[in-house]
Amino acid sequence: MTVEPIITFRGVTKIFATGKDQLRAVDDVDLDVRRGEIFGVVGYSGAGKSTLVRLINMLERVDAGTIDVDGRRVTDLDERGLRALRADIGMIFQQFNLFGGRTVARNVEYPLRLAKVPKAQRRARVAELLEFVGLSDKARRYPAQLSGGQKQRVGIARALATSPNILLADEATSALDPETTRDVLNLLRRINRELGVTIVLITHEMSVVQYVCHRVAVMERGKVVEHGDVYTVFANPRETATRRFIQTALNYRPSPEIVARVRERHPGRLVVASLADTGAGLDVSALTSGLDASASVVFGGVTQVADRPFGSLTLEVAGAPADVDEVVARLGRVAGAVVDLGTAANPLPDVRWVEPRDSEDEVATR
Amino acid sequence: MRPLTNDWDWAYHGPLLWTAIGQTLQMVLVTLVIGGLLGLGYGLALYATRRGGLYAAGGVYAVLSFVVNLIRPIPFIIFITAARPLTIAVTGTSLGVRAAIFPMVIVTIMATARLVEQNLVAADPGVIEAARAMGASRFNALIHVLVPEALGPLILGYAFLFVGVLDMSAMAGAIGAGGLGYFAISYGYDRYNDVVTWVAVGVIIVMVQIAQHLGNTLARRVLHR
Repeated sequence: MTVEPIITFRGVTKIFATGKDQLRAVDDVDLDVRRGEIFGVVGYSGAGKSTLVRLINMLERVDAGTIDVDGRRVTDLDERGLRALRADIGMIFQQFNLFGGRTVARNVEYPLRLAKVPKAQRRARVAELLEFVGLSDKARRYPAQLSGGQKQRVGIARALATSPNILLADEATSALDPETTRDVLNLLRRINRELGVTIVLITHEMSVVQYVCHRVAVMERGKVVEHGDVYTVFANPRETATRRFIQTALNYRPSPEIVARVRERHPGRLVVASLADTGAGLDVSALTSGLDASASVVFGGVTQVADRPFGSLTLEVAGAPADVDEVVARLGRVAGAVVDLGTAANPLPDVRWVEPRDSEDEVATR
Repeated sequence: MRPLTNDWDWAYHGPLLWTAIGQTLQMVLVTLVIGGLLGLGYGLALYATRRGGLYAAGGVYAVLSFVVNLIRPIPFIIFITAARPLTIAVTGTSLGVRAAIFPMVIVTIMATARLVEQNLVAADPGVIEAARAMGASRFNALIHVLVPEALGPLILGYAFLFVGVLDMSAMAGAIGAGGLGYFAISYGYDRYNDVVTWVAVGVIIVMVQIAQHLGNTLARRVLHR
């Protein structure tokens, strides 16, 4: 993959006036999206994700800063220039936003009409697109007759009609069930790989990021607090906001309440181990070999991020005190990060635990 | 002079009824077409200039909205007489069907404008965003996307409007435009002939039923739900 950026944000700020208050929905953001990648933007609702992507096709105007898209300074474009730009940027939505009064084929045809493509070519292109998303047999149906997954595939076909280089996906799978989500994500992967379309994908679902994204940005209160390679950001989060997001999205790290409950049945030494950045799994048997100690997994989970194992396991280690210490030391050498929670009789706090954000902090912008 | 009896005489009432139906249909249909179309434009202007609208312009919206609120509450029978000078200026007469249609059109424009505004506000703004994201102009998004999306409710709204226009046309008898309202009052009520009044009522009910049925059928055809 080349490192040439296709979208560049520099000092971008967007302010919404809410009554007499001002909300900095996007606050001084610098960001590069590389050509040909799937770039995820994650964060809680109200973090500014939706606003950030709407600045790319100027559905929202910036208040400060510049955005370049594919060599064009979009922040300088007038209405006419914007319309040309938008034909080169496809967009799909959480609620699909299909035209309910038009058939599937006519929905997909609409952007081609706007681009003044001749009728014969429009027909051929619509057929080609419906074939690509696997809905050729639904051309004459109306959106209300389709399932959620089918609707989003129509949305995707419509967004791709004018062969854009960039596809913006605004919570495109959030209204879909897990299985359908998987289908749509596979389609997005195909679009990225086969058509070379750069995809900017907003989501609050960790599973979506870990399944399709190459790089990711974490947003909180209008700021991009951390961004980079998906595995690096998730395996080695530097910012509290990122840790908090991963913690709630994955639920693999026990909260203090869960630790207290686990201790009722497992009074021994509890250790929380994150899987190492190397992406290797955790060899549990090697921890205790030759020692008078046992280690059992009492909480946690392992999943795949960017095709590498990722997760957190909480182990109870019991046995001769010196051997238990040795197990914890061995764990520290093979795992990414280890936090010793002590025993039920002698507990230690989880220093890496991030308190969930107060719900009253949530700011709804859209 | 006929005796004041409570009965229906085809030879006498029949031709009067046909004329009245013709006058009512003429007034109602001409008003609905002209007032409906102009009202659609007015309603689009209201919707587009609202705060946060595609052509948001608070001042323009305030003026447009004020005019609607100014005319709508005036009872129609009073509006006909109050608008007399304007009616003469536009139609050249203050009597008859043509003179009745003018104030009816004005009131219909105002009613339609609110109806259109309400239905567009209720439509999913997501389709406008989608159209804009594809490069549609504001005008295009409004006319070619939003209006078609709201067409079903709009048609039902027009069917609803039909009753209001029919109601207005009944008062047009006051300025010599005839119609079913005039027929019912002059040949029924004024002559103690309830049967004639009931026949007029029956005809109006049938008209409303047909209009509503047409509206429902059309709306169902464009709704696709």
